[in-house]
Order: sequence, then structure tokens, then C-alpha cells
Amino acid sequence: MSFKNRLAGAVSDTTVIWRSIPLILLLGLWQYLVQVYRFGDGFIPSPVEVVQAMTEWVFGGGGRYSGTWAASLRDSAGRVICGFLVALAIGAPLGILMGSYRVAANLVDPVLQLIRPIPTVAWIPFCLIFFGIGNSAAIALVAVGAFFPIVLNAMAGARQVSPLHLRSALMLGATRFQILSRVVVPSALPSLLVGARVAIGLAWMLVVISEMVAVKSGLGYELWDAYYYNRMDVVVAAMATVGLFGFLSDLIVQRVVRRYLFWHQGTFR
Amino acid sequence: MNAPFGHAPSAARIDVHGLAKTYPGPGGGVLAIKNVDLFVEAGEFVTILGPSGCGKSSLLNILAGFEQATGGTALIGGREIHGPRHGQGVVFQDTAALFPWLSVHDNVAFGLMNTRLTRRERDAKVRAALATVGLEQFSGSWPHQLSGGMRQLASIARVLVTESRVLLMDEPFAALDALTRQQMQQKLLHIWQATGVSIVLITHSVDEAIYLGNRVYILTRRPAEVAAELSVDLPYPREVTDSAFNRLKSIALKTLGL
Ligand SMILES: Nc1ncnc2c1ncn2[C@@H]1O[C@H](COP(=O)(O)OP(=O)(O)OP(=O)(O)O)[C@@H](O)[C@H]1O
Ligand SMILES: [Mg+2]
Repeated sequence: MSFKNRLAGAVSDTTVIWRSIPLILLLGLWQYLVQVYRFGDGFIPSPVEVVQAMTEWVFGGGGRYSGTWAASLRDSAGRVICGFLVALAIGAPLGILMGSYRVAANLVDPVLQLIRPIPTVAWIPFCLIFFGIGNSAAIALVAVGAFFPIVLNAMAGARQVSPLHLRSALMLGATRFQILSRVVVPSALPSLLVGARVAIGLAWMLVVISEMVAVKSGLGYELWDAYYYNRMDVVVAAMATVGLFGFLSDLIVQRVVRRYLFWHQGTFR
Repeated sequence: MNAPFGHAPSAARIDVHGLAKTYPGPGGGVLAIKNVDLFVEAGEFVTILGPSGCGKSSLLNILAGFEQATGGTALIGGREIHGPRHGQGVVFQDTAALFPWLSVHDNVAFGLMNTRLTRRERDAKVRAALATVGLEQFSGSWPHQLSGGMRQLASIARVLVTESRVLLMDEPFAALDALTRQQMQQKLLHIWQATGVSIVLITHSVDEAIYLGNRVYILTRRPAEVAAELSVDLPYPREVTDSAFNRLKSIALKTLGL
């Protein structure tokens, strides 16, 4: 029967139930261990406490972390989006040029290969010196991190352009620029969007780090702040928020992929 | 019906003299074409038959402008070929040659990109080209939704729409099953008669070459030379069981050394 489902590509209602069972068991076990055995000596919050902290954080009700969730989320998400878009705006065209023209690849690739092994977080001091403590520094860090998967995948995608399609475009009278924009770019798109998916994951990671270390607002800032005030319930609530929105942004990228790459299935070889 | 008839005003003749092609490589490279002379009159359907690996694709790629000859001359419409261009339309063997990210309509419209036409005029031309190949209902489909034969028809349409001077086809039906292949041959004759375009079609099928061509050039093994030229003085549609057809076939097979 499972084979049948797989052939039909179906996700039935029972699948959803089956998949939620381990999650529920895990949460139950966690609650049980913390409540009955004081697992973690009071440093580890129970799921119920996390939900309470989350409610207070989202809707208010007094205390240090009261009703600031939306603002923090907005700050962090704003940085993720801006940094990602900056990386896309620079990385995608650059990668496509590098994949299309050997000269461009020869000029840029050595520099990229030199910089790429440096962990992105090592750029934090430079981001702070250039942009000061604030939004721009976080955006810059996100952009640096998201840039690499985008530029490298755009380049690889442009290199995958089929000679058959190039010849087709030539014999139909396309100019050089038209070949770039109407043949190379669409050919590179599948690979580029794979890069975008990796990039958006990195973006969330980097925004949290930058906010923990340097920037005084956002989910990462509140997470680190809560750690200092020994509010592990808020820490877990912040972790859950970042996880959830990382997941949602990945879903959005996947949606975009499915929306614009429907033609790609079956032709990818 | 041997003589070209009612050819399209845009149809051009092709003249090839002493053509040679050597691919660079170690030990003097690979001599693919030694010395080929041939011509195609405007509106004529010429097939080129040759053993596999003899240099057929090299010849076609030179006519298309994708490759440069290393000797001799190749003229289309009396002019030397300088690179691929609008008007030297090619249909490839690979059925993946359509742009998979464009609808059938947009694939066909691709070649009209640089013409000064209104959107309405352009759509009319696309519709006419799709009607010529019998794909008008598939205008809104995507290439991955079409069968291999239909993709080749769409590939023909995208060249026809440009009022190409020649239609260069490199084993266009080799990837198709036998039945589809026969249907495609009939459709191609139909398209040729409807448009009057000059066609050069490469094949390694003796039947296909004689079934389709006004004339058949038979090439030698690599390096290619013209081994024989057959005039097929049979009316269309031809019968492969016909005795005259089979006489030509046995000559062709003998020339190929079979
Ligand atoms: N780009 C190239 N570089 C080097 N050698 C090549 C190239 N293209 C073709 N050749 C060589 O030239 C010869 C003729 O090749 P070509 O593809 O023209 O033959 P063909 O008759 O079309 O073969 P097939 O029947 O397989 O389609 C072959 O030996 C091939 O290896
Ligand atoms: Mg070939």
C-alpha cells in the first residue's frame, strides 16, 4: 500500500497522524522528565513553561519579555530579507556572468576562492567597523553569508546551459544579450534557486549570531539577553521562533521553485 | 516533380564546392570531410545519406554556420556562410532542442524577437506556423507535455515562422519510433509542399532518403566524399514497395557497400 501511495505521490490524512506521533511523544517525555524528575535542575524549562513564556512574549502581560516578540521578529526578518536580496542582486548576475564568460570567471573566481574558506562570522568585526552597531552591520553579515551559495550556484547553473539551446538561439537570430537573458538565465534558474534555498537558511543563522554578538535588537538579541537573565523558557521560545520562520522561508523558496520551474521536471538530466 | 516547383520567395539555393573539414587534434587532427561537392536548388528537397560517423553532421553544421569549413566553399543564396544566423534554420536530432521554459507558442515566437511586428501580427504568424505543422491546439502546452514527434514538429514550426531560406535537418526523426517516424515523414512532405522551403535532410536510413528526397547524395565512409547522386523521379507520395523505389534502394545499398 505504501508503494501505491508513493507511486501516486499522495500524502494521505493518516500520514499526517503517523508523522505527528513521535513529536507528541517527544514533547510528552520532555514535560514528564522536567516536571517529575526535575530534569536539568530547573535550568531546562518544560514545554508548558515555554508556551507560557511564548504567550507572554507575544501578547504581553508584564515582565522583561512582554509583548516584544513581533518587533523582534520584524527586525530579524527585515535583516534576513534585506541581506538575502542584496546577496541575490549581486550574486546572481555575477555568477551568471562568470558561468558565461571565461574572462569573468578568471577575474573573479580566484578572489572568491580566497575569501570563501573564511567563516562568515569572522567578518563580524569588519561589518561593525564599516557599518557600526545596528541594522546595516547585520544585513551586511547576512549578505556576505548568503552571497556565496548564490553566486556559486548561479555560476554552475549558467555553465549547465545546453549547447543545443545556444545553437537554437543563434540560428533563430538572437543577439548576445538575448542569449544571456533568454537562454542562459532560465537555464541557470534551477541551480540558482537551489543556491537561494541554502542562502536563506544561512541568512537566519547569521542574523541570530549577529544579533547575539553585536546588534541590540531582534530575536537573537532577545535570546542572548534571556540567557543572561536565566530565562531559559524565553530562550527556547526564541529558538522555536527562529526555527519556525527559517522553515517558513524555506517553504516560500520552495513555492517559488515550484511556481517557476514546473517546466523543469522531467527535462533535468 | 523532380524539378523544384512553386518554391517560397525566401527559399535559397545552396552550393558546396570542394568542401573539407579537419578537426584539430593530435597527429594532424581528424579529417571528417575530404571533398564534397553538392547543390540544392531553391525549394528542392535533398537528402544526404551516409554511414555512421562519416561526417554528415559536420557537413550540416558547416551549412548551419556552427562549424567552419577548413577548405572549399559553401554558399547559401550565393553568399558565403558566416556563422549561424536567422534564415539558416536547423532542426536537431535531439528532441530536447526546444526551450523547455517556454510554451510552444513562445518557442515558435522566439525567432520573431527581432522583427518589427506588432504583437498581433506576431501571434498570427505563430498561429500560421503551428497550423502548418498541425500543432495549433498545442500552442499553450509546454515542451515536456509533447511527444517526441510533436516536439520535432514544433521545432520545424519555430524555423518556418522565421521564413527561413533553408531548412537544415540532422537526422530529425532518428530518436522516434518506427511508426511515428513514418507519420513524421509524411507530415514533413506536406509541410515542404505547403511552404516551398529548401530542405537538406541528413539520414542513415536508405528508405527515408529515397522516400523524401528529390535527389539523394550518398557519402562515402569518413572522410566524406560524394559517392553517388541519385535522382528520385517518383511522384509523391511514394511507395516503398514500388519496384522503381526498390531499384533505387538497391543502387543506394550497393553504393554504401552493403
Ligand atoms: N567537434 C569535433 N571535434 C573533433 N572531432 C569531431 C568533432 N565533431 C565530429 N568529429 C569527428 O568527425 C567525424 C565525423 O563526425 P560527424 O558527427 O560529422 O559524423 P556523422 O556522420 O554525423 O556521424 P553519426 O552517424 O554518428 O551522426 C567523427 O570521426 C567524429 O569523431
Ligand atoms: Mg550525426
